[in-house]
Amino acid sequence: MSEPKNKRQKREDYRAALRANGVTELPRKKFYRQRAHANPFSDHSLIYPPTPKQMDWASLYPHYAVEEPTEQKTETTESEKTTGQELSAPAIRKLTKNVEVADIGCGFGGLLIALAPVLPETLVLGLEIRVSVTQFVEDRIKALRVQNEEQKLYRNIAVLRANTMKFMPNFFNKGQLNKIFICFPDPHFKARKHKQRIVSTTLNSEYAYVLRPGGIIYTITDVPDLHEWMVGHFNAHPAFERVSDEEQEADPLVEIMRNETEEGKKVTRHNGQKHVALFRRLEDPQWPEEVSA
Amino acid sequence: MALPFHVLKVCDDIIFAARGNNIHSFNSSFEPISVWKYPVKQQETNEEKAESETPAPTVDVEGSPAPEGPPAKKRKVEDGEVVTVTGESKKESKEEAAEGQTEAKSEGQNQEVNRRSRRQKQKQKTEGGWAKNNKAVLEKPFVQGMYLTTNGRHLVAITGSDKTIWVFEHDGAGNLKQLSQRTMPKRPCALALTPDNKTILSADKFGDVFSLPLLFNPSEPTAAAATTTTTSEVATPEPTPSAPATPAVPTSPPTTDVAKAQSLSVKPQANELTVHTLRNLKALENQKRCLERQKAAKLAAALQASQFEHTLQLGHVSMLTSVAVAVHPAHPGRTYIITADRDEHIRVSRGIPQAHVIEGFLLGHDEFVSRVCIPEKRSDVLISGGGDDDLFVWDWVSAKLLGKAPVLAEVKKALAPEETEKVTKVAVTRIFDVQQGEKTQIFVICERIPLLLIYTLTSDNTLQHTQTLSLLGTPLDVEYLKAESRLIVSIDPNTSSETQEEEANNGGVSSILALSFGDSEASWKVTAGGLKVTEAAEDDSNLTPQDLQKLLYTTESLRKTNKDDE
Repeated sequence: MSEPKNKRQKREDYRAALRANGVTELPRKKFYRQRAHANPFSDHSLIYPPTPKQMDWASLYPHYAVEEPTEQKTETTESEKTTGQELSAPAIRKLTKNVEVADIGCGFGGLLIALAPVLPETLVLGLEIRVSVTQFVEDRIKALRVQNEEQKLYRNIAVLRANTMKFMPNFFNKGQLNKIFICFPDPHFKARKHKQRIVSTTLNSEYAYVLRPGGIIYTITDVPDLHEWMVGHFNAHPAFERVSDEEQEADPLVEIMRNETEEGKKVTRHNGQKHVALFRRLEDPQWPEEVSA
Repeated sequence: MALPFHVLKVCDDIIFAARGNNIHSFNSSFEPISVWKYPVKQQETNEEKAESETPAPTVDVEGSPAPEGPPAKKRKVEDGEVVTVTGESKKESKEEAAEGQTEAKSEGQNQEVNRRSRRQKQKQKTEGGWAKNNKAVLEKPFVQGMYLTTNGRHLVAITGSDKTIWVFEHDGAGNLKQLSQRTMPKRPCALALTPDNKTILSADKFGDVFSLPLLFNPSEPTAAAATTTTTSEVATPEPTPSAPATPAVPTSPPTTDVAKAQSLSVKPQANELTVHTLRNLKALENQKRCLERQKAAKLAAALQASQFEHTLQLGHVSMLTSVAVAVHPAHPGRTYIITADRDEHIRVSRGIPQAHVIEGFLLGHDEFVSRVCIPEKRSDVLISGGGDDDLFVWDWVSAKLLGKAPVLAEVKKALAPEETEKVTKVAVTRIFDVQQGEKTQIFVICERIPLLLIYTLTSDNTLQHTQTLSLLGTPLDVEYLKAESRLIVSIDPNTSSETQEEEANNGGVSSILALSFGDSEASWKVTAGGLKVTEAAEDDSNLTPQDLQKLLYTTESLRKTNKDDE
């Protein structure tokens, strides 16, 4: 039984060496593998800010951090009246812009890396629940940033370990996001595990909360049942409407989503099907009293 | 060991107090009015059930699976034991009769086992064996919460382990009439009623909020039929095929234990390869068909249990702890649903029918949230508490934190020095508001802390600590008798610091304390006129103290301790 230990040792040595080298070469996936499923209901030891305001985005996107944090801060938070002294305690550097695109369950980060040059002016965040996989993407982005320093590429993408099913509102304000990608999510075939699916009527309300009206949710899966499930649940939700096929195919990001994610490539290798569906966030309805008035 | 009155609810001058799984009602001087007893599906308790003023008219949910299709025939066996025989097994026995000898033999076996099982049952009755079973005790569904409609006409209660919501009609004088009992798909943690008193919102352990109408008619006749057959009378068809070649296989007797019978009848012992005659094959086929029908019946019964109108309104991916329906004074026409969960979130959604719209989150808690309170006269403010050291005060409609008020610090101040060391965290279990003229007072209880913390919500929205009152035991719930300006606090008598002599002099251990506001001292103090209980009066509390603790003190367990990963 020395084999697994050996493997773990190798893994640790590799990652330590990578870090010592200043992360100039791309990480190798075999040292970051982790089983494909994570229980979204368990507590894990996640790190998340109590509120989006307390999120330290500058450490993820250092090139977009505001230059003089202390002076800027008082101006940007003037609208927030903070009485609790703890709230203003740590000086958090602000970003010049907010994250507007999220890839929920980004896996090994293929989509992020493909999106970086396509959306150069937008901050894109990958969210992944598995520790090792998140670490891989982090190392990958670090290496890419170093390798492409002159072109200033890959500075607009970052990855974060998070359980979005529970803690999405801890990271994003209401209406902050413009696009959400949900690519090849865990299908959770068993009926009793359906609550663990990343798309459900109740969770869609949270996506509607972080997405601004007009924003788009991109979904793709190779499992027909799951595709139907996702379409059914988004269609049933009053805050979303399905984007028409023509508009869907006209969106350049759909093609990237089809071909650039690691899962997407795998499905192509196996000649699998890929089911795409896009949904637009609608305006919130008027309050019933205002309708009647 | 005495069972405490762990949940209180006041309706004008009537006090409803839940003790274990029963609901007692008292007038304001603690004279008993009536008791609603949880209908126990045990033969001996049926009499009690009839005596209590509320017969259970509804579906016997946990009872036996109702035999669907043609009603089972009842056959009288010697000693007056009624055995239900379904068509198939009767046919089987006919076939057996043709075999003559085997029939006689198995019949004899049947009777023998019958007698034995009856003897066992008697033994159980005399010793109270069922209650000694620890699991059965833990399955005792304690009342978890009681809620009143604004007009006081209906009382809604949830019982824990059986996931049931009960609706009672209240005649205004303390008498309850059970109207309905509905078993939810998941265990409800908290309820709220809409301002029009027509809809119940049930927040459950799985994070979902369902809406269900307050009034509902269980109108299925089959359901009524199911209640008439008690568990001991139901006999499942004999699962063993009557294989004459192997008469040694004992035919299973009609067991008293339904679960046992079910587990036996899950699969026929024989299969097509082990039966050798055409007849036996036919018998086996019959049996399989019968089992399928049974399975379908079981499924139907399970479906029926959830066959009442309930609509999913919203959901968290986290256990919900508290739900409230709120109306902000600035928008009197709008209702909001406020839900709190174990993952530090308080969510503000729109009311029905737009509950899918999330208006905002009240974020800032570092530990679980266990209670939210919107004071009646200050409905622009929300006070939340849980595993954090402080209470949080929110402007909930604009999702702004207004301030915090210390809980742990106040607890430490009030406790004896040697106790202070031990208390490192608190779990708020109740936040209760009382309006006294212009003054909004907030009463706070923490789990296993024998103190009552009293705060005042000032007009500039700060929560000021005004008093800490030491209590005889750990408080469980707090309510307010408006007409008499009296506060009542139920305490766990098992934690009482009263000495034996005091108990003897007072005629029992204090279970509910009465508190009144002394104008001269400008503070609350315990006055005479509470409720005492005598330990001997306990009827069916075969609970061990550990079990009782588990049932009463559940809030601290919400704290996250699992810090391992991957």
